[in-house]
Amino acid sequence: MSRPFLELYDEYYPKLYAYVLLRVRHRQQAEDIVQQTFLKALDKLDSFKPRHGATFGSWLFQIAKNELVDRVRHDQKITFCDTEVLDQNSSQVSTIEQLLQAELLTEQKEQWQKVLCSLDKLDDDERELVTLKYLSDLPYQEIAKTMNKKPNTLAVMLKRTLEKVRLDLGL
Amino acid sequence: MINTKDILKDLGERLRGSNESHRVRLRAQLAELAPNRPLPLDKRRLGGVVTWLTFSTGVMAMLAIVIATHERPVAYVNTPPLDLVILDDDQEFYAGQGRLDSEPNAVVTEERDQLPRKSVAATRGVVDYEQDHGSMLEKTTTINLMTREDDAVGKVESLFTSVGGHLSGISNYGAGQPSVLTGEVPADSYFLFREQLHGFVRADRYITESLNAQDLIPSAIEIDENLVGVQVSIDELSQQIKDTKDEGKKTKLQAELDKLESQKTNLEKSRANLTDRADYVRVSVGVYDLPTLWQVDANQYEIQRVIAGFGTQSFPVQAWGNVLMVFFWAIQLLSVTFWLIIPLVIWLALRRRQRKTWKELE
Repeated sequence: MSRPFLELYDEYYPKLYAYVLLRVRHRQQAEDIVQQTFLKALDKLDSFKPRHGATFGSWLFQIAKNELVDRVRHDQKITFCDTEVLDQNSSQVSTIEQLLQAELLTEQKEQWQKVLCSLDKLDDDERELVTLKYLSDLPYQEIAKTMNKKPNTLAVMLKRTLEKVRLDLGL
Repeated sequence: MINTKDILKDLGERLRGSNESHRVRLRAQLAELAPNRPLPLDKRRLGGVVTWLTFSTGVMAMLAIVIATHERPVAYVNTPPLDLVILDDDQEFYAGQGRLDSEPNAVVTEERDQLPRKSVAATRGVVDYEQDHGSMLEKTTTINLMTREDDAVGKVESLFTSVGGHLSGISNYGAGQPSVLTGEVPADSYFLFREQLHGFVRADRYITESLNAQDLIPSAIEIDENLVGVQVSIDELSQQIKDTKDEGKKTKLQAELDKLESQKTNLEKSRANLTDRADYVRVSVGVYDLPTLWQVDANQYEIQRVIAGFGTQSFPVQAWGNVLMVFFWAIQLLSVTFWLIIPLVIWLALRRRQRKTWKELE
């Protein structure tokens, strides 16, 4: 079954953008990476072989992850918990309002800021799992393929991760 | 109460929709580069395992159809299952079996329903006669048997002597034809003789136990019944003659009485002959070779079997046909199991486990 590329683009752009944005914490940089990812995907579309249950989504996210590895410097990373000590020289943002470039209600802003801060305290795999599941809204099958983990492992990990976040948020 | 999941979902929804302008711009750019470019098909499916499975299943199905088409159909007859391999054949009373007519290949088949039933002895004299002489000593009995035993003729021959009888002749009609052994068996040993024949045939591992033939109808009983009837008529006529005063009528009655007396005399002679012959039973045993399905053409086998008097349904051929069919279907079952059912079960199990996992994750 084939689907027009643009149809897939419409489906995956929001998911990919949310994922990349959370990783780079910079809108312009996120746009570039997402753009580069889709261009690469289009360029290499003929080499896409959906084997072993791999989907276009998992393939696309894998390209994006490779792009992120090339572009993101981990030592420059600023967390959402560091709002008070924001590095003026950093291009990254540390508040949700900066990230969304939008005014938010105080209650919502605080709540989301806390959640993002809580996510920053997680391991890389845990954060990626929560991001892919709830922020990018990827189906589980694609998450499993993207993270190259077994569903059972993901199930356990997600449960524990959500518990961690819940405790951190005091809910 | 808002839980963690809901907060994350709300945040995700906001993040995903936070850059609509860029999405539109990039879409326009991609649309120029690849308008409606489809994803490539799953090449692996075209030449991979799925296709091979489908192809192999198709080949097996075709093979099954071809074999089934060429498989010799198993014929079923309406008569009860004939695991019959030994038959006491009486020219008068047996039916339902094919027989060779005067024409070499003509087969006469009578209906089974036309079998006469043994008449019931109604008089004391007949019962006494049965007690003294048995009820089946008066007939020349023909027994046909079909066997794969190499020395069947020799064994039947030895049976004659073992029961105290004697063999008067062996006729051999050549290949494909029966050997007929004729002789006499003491009346007292006839049952033993027949039982041993049954046992002999039973020992043949290719043949099932035979059905017993019908009991012979005792001619002596019939004669006795007729004699009783004739005697009653004679008594009645004698009484009428005594009571009649008309001479003309008396003459007619006397003529009828004479006829009855003559009839009675003939019956008594027949009865006396039977009694004289009751010591021995004349037996004719036809021994037919039972070929395997591999040795002869099925049609030839059928004809031979029909001539032998075993009906149109050949048990061994049917049995071999059944064995072949079972073998054939076993292969089909294994093939289907291997190519279809096992992969399907594995696939369903994996899918079920996966869905369960997804559900748990939800």
